[in-house]
Amino acid sequence: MADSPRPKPGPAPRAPRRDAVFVLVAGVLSGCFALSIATQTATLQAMYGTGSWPDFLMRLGVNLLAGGVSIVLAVLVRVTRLTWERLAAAIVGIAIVSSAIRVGLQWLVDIEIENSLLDAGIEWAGAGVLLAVTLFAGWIFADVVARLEGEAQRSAQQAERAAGALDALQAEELRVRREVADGLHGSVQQALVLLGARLQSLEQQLASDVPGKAVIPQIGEVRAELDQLREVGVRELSRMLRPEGLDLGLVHATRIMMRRVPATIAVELSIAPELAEIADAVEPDTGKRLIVMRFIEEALSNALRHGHASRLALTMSLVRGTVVRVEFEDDGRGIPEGAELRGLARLRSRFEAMGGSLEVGRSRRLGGTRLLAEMPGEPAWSPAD
Amino acid sequence: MGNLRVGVVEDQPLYRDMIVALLTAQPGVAVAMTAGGAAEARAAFEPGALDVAVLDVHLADGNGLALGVSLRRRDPDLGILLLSSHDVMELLLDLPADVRDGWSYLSKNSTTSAEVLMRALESTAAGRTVVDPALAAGAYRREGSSLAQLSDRQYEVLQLVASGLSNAGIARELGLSERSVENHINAVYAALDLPRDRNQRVSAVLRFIEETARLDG
Repeated sequence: MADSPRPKPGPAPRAPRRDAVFVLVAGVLSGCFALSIATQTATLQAMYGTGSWPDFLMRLGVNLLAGGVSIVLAVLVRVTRLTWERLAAAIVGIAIVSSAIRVGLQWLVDIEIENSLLDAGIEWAGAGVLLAVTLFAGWIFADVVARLEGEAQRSAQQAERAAGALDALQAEELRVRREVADGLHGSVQQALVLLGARLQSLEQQLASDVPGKAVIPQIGEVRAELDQLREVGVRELSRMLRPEGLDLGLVHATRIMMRRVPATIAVELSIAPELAEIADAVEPDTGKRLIVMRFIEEALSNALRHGHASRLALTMSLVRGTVVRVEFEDDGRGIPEGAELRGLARLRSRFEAMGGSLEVGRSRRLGGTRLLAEMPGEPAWSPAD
Repeated sequence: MGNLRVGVVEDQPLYRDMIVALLTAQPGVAVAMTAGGAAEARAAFEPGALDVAVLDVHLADGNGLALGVSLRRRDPDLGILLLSSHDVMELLLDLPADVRDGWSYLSKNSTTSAEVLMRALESTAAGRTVVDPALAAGAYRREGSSLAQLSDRQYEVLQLVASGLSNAGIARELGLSERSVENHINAVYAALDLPRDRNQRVSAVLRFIEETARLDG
């Protein structure tokens, strides 16, 4: 079975945006360097009276061209997506090439440089270092911007998840309230009305001199109805509000719930001893326990109602020290798309909001559904003691 | 054997009075301690002063289960009878191994019957494990479990063992000889592959709780 829908992750920080930041920063910096180097030379030349405007513009143009080439090369090798080691190699390589192109261009357009190889080498190395610094600065900026954006996106996603979990919680509460209210108005109230009517009839019979012994069976019936009302009406409703045994710990609440699975369904219940033993069990707090119990309820209802399972396995264990893991497997038909899957997705967001997780998959062992939930617990918990 | 000395820990005064009155009216029973909560019970408890402690599972200041474990560790011969208005006999399954024997469970509905209450108290004092007879009678064997392999008669005998009946009591109930009840019980132990020790009867009752369901079909 396919994994159930997960809240869609937001788009990853986009690469084109990183590239744009890189081009902008590297471009501005290399423009500044181009201008300042050309200006410096022109100033020196002015002191010797050899400078001229065309010469200055030519130098500036060559510098800008070399910077532009380095940036284009950097974008082509996708420096914004490279790791540190490759980044260093790429930048050095690009700087060497671009700086060599600059020296070559200077020679081509016949800009006056000292006619010695040493001077050409110094010119080449100096410009190379500047180009490398420019590229590196551009990369740093792009990286910082991407990180900041990613963080903002993650915190927005987290806020969305938390809001979703809150909605789910409220929806769940409303549903339970509605069902309890329906139960009170419907079956419980109706049963009480009927009981009142029966008592009234008994009253009338006794008033009309019917011997007391004659009504004894009817009193027995009233008592039986009261028992029924207590068991089916009141207890069921209270169970709906709060699973039985919840205050005694997760293991007990689970055992109680699994005992309610009809006897014709084979159940393998295995509980790790470190979770089971009362005195020093690890235990999630009441809120987390309630969510785990809702998970087991949901798993049971999916397996029995929709999956027509005949075999279930529930395994509770302790992982990573204090995390309670509940694995539920069945041999049913899997979970139908629709309401059931959405119910599990809502539950998952509640698990995630409390630092836990919930996975839906296929059971290799039993052939049906496999649900795996984890909920962090607190160590050294002792039930209400 | 002298009086059966019983302690009662229950936070609802009305229910506590009712149980104390019921017990006091029984010949051979003395209520030697009463408490309204876990803390009060811990303070009032003296090792050796009680045969059985009757504890409500849900106390206002704690729970009967944890209280039972700590009282039993102070007095290894103490029997514990848990009471609850919910059907929570599964509680007996997760007791620490060192205090596992001689714990019983009754639902509060059943405690209105002096006969059921007395039988549970006597069995618990003798170190046996007993569950509510009404719940034991309404428990169904789980498909695929080791209990499902028992014959109907063997299962019937096990239900009565879980309800706290002695072999003689089971023999009377089923119209069998005590000898044949014994044979049935040994066959149950063998079929369930229970460890051969003096606690086989307790182990069998725990297996009964573990492998039955509240609902048929």
